[in-house]
Amino acid sequence: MTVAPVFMPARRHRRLGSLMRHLRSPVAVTSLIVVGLALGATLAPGLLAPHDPAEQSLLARLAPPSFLGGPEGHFLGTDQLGRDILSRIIYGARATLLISIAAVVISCSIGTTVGLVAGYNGGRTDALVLRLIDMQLAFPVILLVIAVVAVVGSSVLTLIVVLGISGWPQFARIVRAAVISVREMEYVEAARAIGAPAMRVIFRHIGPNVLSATIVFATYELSRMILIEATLSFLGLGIQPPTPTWGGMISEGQKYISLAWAASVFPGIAIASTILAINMLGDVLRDALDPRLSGEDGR
Amino acid sequence: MNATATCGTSAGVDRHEEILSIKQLRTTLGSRPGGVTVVDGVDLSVRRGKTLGIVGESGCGKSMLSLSVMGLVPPPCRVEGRIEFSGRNLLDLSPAEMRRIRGNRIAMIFQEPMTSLNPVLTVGFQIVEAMRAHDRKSSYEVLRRRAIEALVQVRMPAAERRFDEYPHQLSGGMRQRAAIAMALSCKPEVLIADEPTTALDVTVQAEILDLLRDLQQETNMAIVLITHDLGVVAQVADEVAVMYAGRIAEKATCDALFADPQHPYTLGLLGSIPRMDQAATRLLAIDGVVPPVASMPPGCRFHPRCVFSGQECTRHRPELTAVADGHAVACLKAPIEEGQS
Amino acid sequence: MTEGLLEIRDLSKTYTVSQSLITRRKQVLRAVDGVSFSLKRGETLALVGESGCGKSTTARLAMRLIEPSAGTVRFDGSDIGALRGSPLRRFRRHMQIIFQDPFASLNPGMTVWQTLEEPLIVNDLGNQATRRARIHEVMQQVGLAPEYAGRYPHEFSGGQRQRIGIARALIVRPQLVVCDEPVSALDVSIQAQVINLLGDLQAQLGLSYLFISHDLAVVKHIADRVAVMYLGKIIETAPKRDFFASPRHPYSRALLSAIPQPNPRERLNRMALSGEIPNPINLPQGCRFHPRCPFAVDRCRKEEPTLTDVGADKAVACHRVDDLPDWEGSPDPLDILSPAGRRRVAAYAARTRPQLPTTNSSQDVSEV
Repeated sequence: MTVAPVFMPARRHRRLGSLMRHLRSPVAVTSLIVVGLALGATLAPGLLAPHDPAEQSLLARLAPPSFLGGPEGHFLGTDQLGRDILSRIIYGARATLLISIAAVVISCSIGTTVGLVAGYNGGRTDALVLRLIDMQLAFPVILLVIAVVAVVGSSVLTLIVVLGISGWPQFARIVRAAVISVREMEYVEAARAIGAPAMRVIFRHIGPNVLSATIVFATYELSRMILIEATLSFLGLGIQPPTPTWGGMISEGQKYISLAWAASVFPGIAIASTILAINMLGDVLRDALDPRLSGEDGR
Repeated sequence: MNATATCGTSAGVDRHEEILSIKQLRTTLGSRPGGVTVVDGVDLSVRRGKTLGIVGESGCGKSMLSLSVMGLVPPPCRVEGRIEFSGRNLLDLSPAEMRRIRGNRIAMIFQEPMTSLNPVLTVGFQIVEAMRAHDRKSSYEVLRRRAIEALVQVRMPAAERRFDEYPHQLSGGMRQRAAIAMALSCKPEVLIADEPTTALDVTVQAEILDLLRDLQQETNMAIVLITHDLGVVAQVADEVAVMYAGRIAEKATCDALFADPQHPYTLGLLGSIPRMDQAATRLLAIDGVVPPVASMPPGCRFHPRCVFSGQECTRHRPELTAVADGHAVACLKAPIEEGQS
Repeated sequence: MTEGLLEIRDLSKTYTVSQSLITRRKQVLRAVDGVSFSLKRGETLALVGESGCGKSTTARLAMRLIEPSAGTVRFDGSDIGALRGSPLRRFRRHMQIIFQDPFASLNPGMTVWQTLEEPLIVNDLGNQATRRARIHEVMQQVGLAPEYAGRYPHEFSGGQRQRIGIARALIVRPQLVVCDEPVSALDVSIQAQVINLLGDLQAQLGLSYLFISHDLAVVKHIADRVAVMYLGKIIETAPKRDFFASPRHPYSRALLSAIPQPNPRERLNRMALSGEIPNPINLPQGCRFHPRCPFAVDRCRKEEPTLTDVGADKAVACHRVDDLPDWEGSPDPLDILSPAGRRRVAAYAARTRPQLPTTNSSQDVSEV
């Protein structure tokens, strides 16, 4: 008898390989570039930005973009205080993405844990969690944030905590639904029949089959958070000036939109393209994480 | 005479005339040239008041065959050959003409009756709708009475009450009865039944098979019964076609097929049926699995699994050849004799 | 009498179905209602019945995958109803299960290797090298080429997936395997392969099977003893030969006569049952079968029959067991073969290889 040749080594690479294949599509590459730029701006804005975002030049206020006849050195033009819009967008990514990503991480962790426990145990725990979810979903997020900001004042930390806590019910609901559909599968029963402890059943058999739904939802949720953060800044409830944020820039720029559209339109484009790119990546991830959809030998 | 009474079952006409005849049917899925051929050169016919059984495993093309006859093959696809129904080739008909025949003169029932019943409408309403599609003149009251009659005809218990119930309120057997009532509501001349009893318990299956046989007696319709179960075929069919990988392997009257099986695949299927006296020994299984449609073996498609196959089987496609009156086999080794090399 | 490997006594499982939100009136569904049987070592006991009769629930109760409402389960002399926590998990390896649906029973995200390795890891059996050897061995036992270990379930056909499921059950060397409709979802020719495989494995490894099926034809081939269930109760139990030669309970007879015989000359001799299985929430009074039973008398409507020993290892729960007409069995389907047909089947049998070969040719892998 020959000893089996392939066995273990190949197995991790299969999923990775499948992910890499999916990431090679033009849509995925474009999305990756956009998200990469946004992340780069978050981590090291100084390397990308041509100007100091706070540097004012009252002589060159509300200038159009340089490629449309504006002054040299301000590629996307300047705002009402003569600050460079490109630099402010780059620096603005930091506050926006930091808050959104942190908020999603928090709501995802809380939501997934609660959803796993509620879905696996069922019964009373599940009923209680469902009521909690309903209660929180019935309460508008914006109102909640306004209330909290009104009481404690606006800061990065407050926003992260408030947004993070406001987002868990959706995660819990999605994970719970996925767990319930997987829990009754025969392979979960088989895992219990071989004597696997509950934790192993949850994390080895239920978790991975729920994970793809969670990751995909997290990307959608991330774009929603970006939008909420922008909305808050637009309403003047977010990070206070002079720290640049995308929503804040739109808010300030829209007063002068008839004179200089650039000040509000470019931050808007930044928000839209980032959200679009993140959503596209979410779709790619969803396809790549499902072994049944991941090309190679099984169609 | 009523305009809808085109059935032609009036006196003087052969009670068992040929009603549906399929000639050299080829169904290809996919638009590319050389797409996947799932039905490959099938000749079949069925007569009024008779039942044709089509037996085969999953992937043998039996369901695609029935969808081809109904004109329901999902595009992109090509259906070639001839499907003659009361003198006309169904493949030449326009979609509108086909719609008038489908459900009206040729009806179909499926394995899972839930797929043919809409869960949010009452059973009665759906039967009335099916009737109205082909009869726009009658009033609701008339149709309702006829629908209840149809439910009574399929031995639905408490037919009057079931009329106003939703599909989920019925048991599996009753749902299949409702689906049959719906299919029969327009008095079709041909009923195509695709695995009608596979999802049912044995006792219920027996009742449905009895029902189909009784309804055939009453209406003289032709039945095409598609199944994987040789037992079901033996119980209700008059003629049987054994299909393998899109082709017909053997075609015979029901008695002849079970008394004198010829094709190695038929032998294997018969040997696969568990039997009592054999308990201590093993079943005669057929090795391997049905080849995937995209990569059919050349020559005889059964040769990789066949215990009798020889060199010629890998090269030449066997044609359906008569070995006796009304009994044809597509096997180069037929007739198989003991001690054959 | 010596104690069997598995001894089930008065096992019950009830579910509370609250019918009305307002009145809070509770209704009880008796999925399994006082089931007792014993299974000897090396034996195959078939639990037969139609959908909803409680046969699968009974098996899961016996495995403690579901907690029973009442009753005891003794396995190899010890009461497993008392086990909790890690002793229960350690016990599980002795009793494994094979499922009906070869598509739902394997984790789609795990390779064959991972699926087969898991029972060994969970039960802390062997080291890396011995595990590898064991996986290799089991895959060959069930007729899978070890080269397939790195593949995912969706790359296999239904029959092959069922082999993977069997391998997962066997890898921890269980004494008893519960087979829950293991061939119902497979094609006839694949069914025969898997039935043969189960038979071979039993002979090789001395396994005991609790075989759950609605298909009496399969049971006829594989079982040693048969227990028929109807609405949560066993209504007849007998050695296989006795059962098929002369079933005693009217329901057993109805089941047997409902099997479509692959014999066109054996039509229309079935015992018709009226109606369908009643709702298990509103069970009829008296014998559960009486509304459908052609032999029912007044006593059947009032008094519930108990499973009574009728000698020779047989037991029936029917008031009228002695009043029923004699049973005429149906002839073997192959009896209708013509002499030439018989010779052909014999030639086919002679050429079929006696041992199940390893299915390792590439044409076996399904595309889907």
